[in-house]
Amino acid sequence: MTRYALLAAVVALVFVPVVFGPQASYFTRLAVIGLLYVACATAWDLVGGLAGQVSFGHAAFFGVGAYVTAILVRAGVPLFVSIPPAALAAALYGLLWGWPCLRLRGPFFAIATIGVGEATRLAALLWEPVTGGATGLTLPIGRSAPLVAYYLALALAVTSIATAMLVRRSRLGLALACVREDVDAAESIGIRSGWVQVQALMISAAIVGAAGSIYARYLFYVEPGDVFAFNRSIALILMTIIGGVNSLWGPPLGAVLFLGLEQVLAAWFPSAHLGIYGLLLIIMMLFEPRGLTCLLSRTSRSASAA
Amino acid sequence: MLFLQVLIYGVILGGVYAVMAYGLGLIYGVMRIVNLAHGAVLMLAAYGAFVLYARWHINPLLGAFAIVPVAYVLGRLLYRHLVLRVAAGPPMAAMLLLFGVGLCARNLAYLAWTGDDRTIALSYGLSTIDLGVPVPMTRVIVFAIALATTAGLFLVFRFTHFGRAVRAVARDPIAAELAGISVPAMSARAFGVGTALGAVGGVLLATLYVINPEFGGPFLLKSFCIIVLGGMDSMPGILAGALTLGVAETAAGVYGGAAWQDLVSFLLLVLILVARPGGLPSLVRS
Repeated sequence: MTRYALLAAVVALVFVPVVFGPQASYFTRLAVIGLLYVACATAWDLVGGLAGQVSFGHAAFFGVGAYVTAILVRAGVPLFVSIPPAALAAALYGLLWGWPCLRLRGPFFAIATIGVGEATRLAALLWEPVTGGATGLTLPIGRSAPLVAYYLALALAVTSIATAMLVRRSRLGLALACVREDVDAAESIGIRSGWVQVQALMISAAIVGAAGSIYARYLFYVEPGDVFAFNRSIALILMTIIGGVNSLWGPPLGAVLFLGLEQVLAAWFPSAHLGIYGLLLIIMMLFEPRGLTCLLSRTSRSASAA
Repeated sequence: MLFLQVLIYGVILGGVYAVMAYGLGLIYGVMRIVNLAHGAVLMLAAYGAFVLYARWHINPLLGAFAIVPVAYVLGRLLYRHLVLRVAAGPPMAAMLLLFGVGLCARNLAYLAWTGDDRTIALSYGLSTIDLGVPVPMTRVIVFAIALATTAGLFLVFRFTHFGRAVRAVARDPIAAELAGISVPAMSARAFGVGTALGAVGGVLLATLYVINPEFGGPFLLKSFCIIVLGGMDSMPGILAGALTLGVAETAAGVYGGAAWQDLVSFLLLVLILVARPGGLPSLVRS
């Protein structure tokens, strides 16, 4: 039943631009960003939820993906070809700092990721010959961009959810859950806790990097203050917490709700968005730390029991 | 000559950084909670000093006497009404909750004081003292206060009941409870004192840097870097870590350029977290 509903949703999303027209309208933009949010939040949850290692640094992967695409496209590589290298570069970047940092647990990993995210942004600002510094890089404008970006984002969102589904059912997923619950017990039955978490981080990074790549080719412009922004990392945490940490459908749900919230706040309360995100975080932590999907499943269970 | 200058400026900066980081270390030591709202505490205290100075011309270093008790009370309220409620929840709940508190505080600062940079220009701000190299008067005074705060803390931790109880809880909460210390009550007081110490740090920083709503972020990361360098909950360790960071940062600023100055603390943080996890057992298994 759910499977058919999903299929229907994807088919509907495929035909949306046919109905609304391929113009670069507000809704196309919203759809592209929203689908990228879905992809990124789902990917974040593999590390933050399934592995239980909260990352405040995922913007680094987004930015790396965006920059790799920008640099490749400026060097004359076709746009489509630039997505896999961007994902790969982000995954390798995840390996680079995940390998040492994932030995840390709980708050220490989280703090290290704040450091990594900020250091990456500053490094991009400093490394001017390659990244263009604070000015950023402009991509040559291509044709029919919004529609292509829409389908790429849709494909990525579907890929991300499918990947999360596969990982959760796989040996790797079980190993990650095991490490999350008890590192010592996991190691004692032969799970290499560091290595499985690095794998999760690399998968997550590849998806977020691909999202950065699509974002770059959609905007035709990358700049460290935007793609590496700390607020991007925070947004992913918020989406996942609103929807439900460590669940398959929590992050996508949270991403859609966050997109809506972001638009409402930008339109009506532009000066209060930080505070409202903060309040949301506090309220979720106080009353429903496992997210809305948990709340929904509980209410539906009590409804069917009645 | 340049080397001497780096050393003196670095040590002064390190002294201020130490005061900024004690609160974070104290709260972590007693509750094993990383207070992500610490940056907001620094920022609000800095604005407090600014308001007292701009409106009533109160010297910020005197203004601290008004700001610190307020911070203590707010810290206790924050602990009692928010942090304590999620203590039984998922492990990261308290940290994320405090992050949310920090976001709210930043937003309040934007609404109350806009995003403009504010400065506190003291009357003796331009005069200098010759310590081998000329050093601004403000820095010398601020350093003296930092040293006094450090000395006061050492005395409190060594000789008062509160200090001994805090050290006992940090070492082993269950044993402390068995010895008749109320861990929840001690935690509330430690949260209050940690917030108050953050306020002292914020006021000191306010005399040296421009104040804006994003004031706290970089200093929060630097505080983390310091308490990690110093072994999380030992006060002498934090002082040593702060001096190290102060000198390293000043050196990076002088020899590498202003941009490197910001990068050095992040690099140091990641490096130390990676290179010495075995040396700091609490890091590896929390």
